[in-house]
Amino acid sequence: MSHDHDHTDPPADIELRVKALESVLAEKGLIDTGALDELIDIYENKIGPRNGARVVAKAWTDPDYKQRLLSDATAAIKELGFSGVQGEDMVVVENTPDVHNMIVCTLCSCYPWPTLGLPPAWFKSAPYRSRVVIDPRGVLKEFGISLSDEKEVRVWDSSAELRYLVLPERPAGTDGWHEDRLVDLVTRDSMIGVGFPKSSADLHQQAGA
Amino acid sequence: MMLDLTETADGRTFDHPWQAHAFSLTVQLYKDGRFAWEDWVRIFSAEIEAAPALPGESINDAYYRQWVRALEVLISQLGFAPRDQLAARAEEWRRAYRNTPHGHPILLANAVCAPSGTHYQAPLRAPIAVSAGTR
Repeated sequence: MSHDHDHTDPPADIELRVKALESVLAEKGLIDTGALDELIDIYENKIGPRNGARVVAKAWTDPDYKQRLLSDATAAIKELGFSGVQGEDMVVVENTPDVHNMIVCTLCSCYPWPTLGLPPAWFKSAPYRSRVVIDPRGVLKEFGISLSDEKEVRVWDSSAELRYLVLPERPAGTDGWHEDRLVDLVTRDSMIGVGFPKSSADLHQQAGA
Repeated sequence: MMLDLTETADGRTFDHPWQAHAFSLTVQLYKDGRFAWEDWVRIFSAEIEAAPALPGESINDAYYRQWVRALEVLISQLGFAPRDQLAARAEEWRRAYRNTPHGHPILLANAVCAPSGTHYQAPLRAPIAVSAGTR
């Protein structure tokens, strides 16, 4: 082609459609393109499961806080400074030796952004959304988790109105640990209920690796 | 069906910048109180149901394809812009790309007229055409 430099190849249709949305909304004064980049930066770099891990670690070390968290999660989470879109109405469900909780959004991908960030890809996938309801133990196995048959598994469906967060059980061998150290044990998956927190041994291994 | 537990390659939230833009457009409108989140979930979940992942499509590509369509529906339902206006604008952007020399910023104005410089000519300082009179 002799005109290679005279044009730019248009991107995929969907990218053009997003540019269309953005430019039309900006012209109408409905969005501020500068603020868009700020929002992207926040969701890409600043909001993530580390916030949720702080909530969990505090609940592990402060019984009064745990009580507040289980009775009014939205307010207790806000105490730590975490609130905002998709965190307006929170419920925290506690794992115990008898009960394991896990979270799904069967309709789309409702997820507590202020505490966990944006959901991982699999959380948004059709197989997870449908199968977790039909066969939660089977789904857990795919995450490498097998629970004793005696343990009850409860699946919670997050929605537009309210979102769930799992309070995992505190790992054994962490007595006397400071909250700041416990934070490093709390994984995203453990707060969705498809994983467990790291053990103290995991942490030592990581430090040695 | 087994679950695909693959995380995005570098652990980033979005696979492509357009996904980040579609997401943040929606969140900004919501934060400004332009719609109720329940309405978004209603439209988005209907779109997910109606247009499931295609064979070979990654989870994020399917998810944000559904997201973008849902956003177009929301925008038109809110009366901000009808779907045909959005489609026409997308075509304008396509023309803008085609008219923009490689390496230059893509401006919507280029859809109508290629940027000056691409068809630059030295000033003629003379008529560009003359039709001789009979006198």
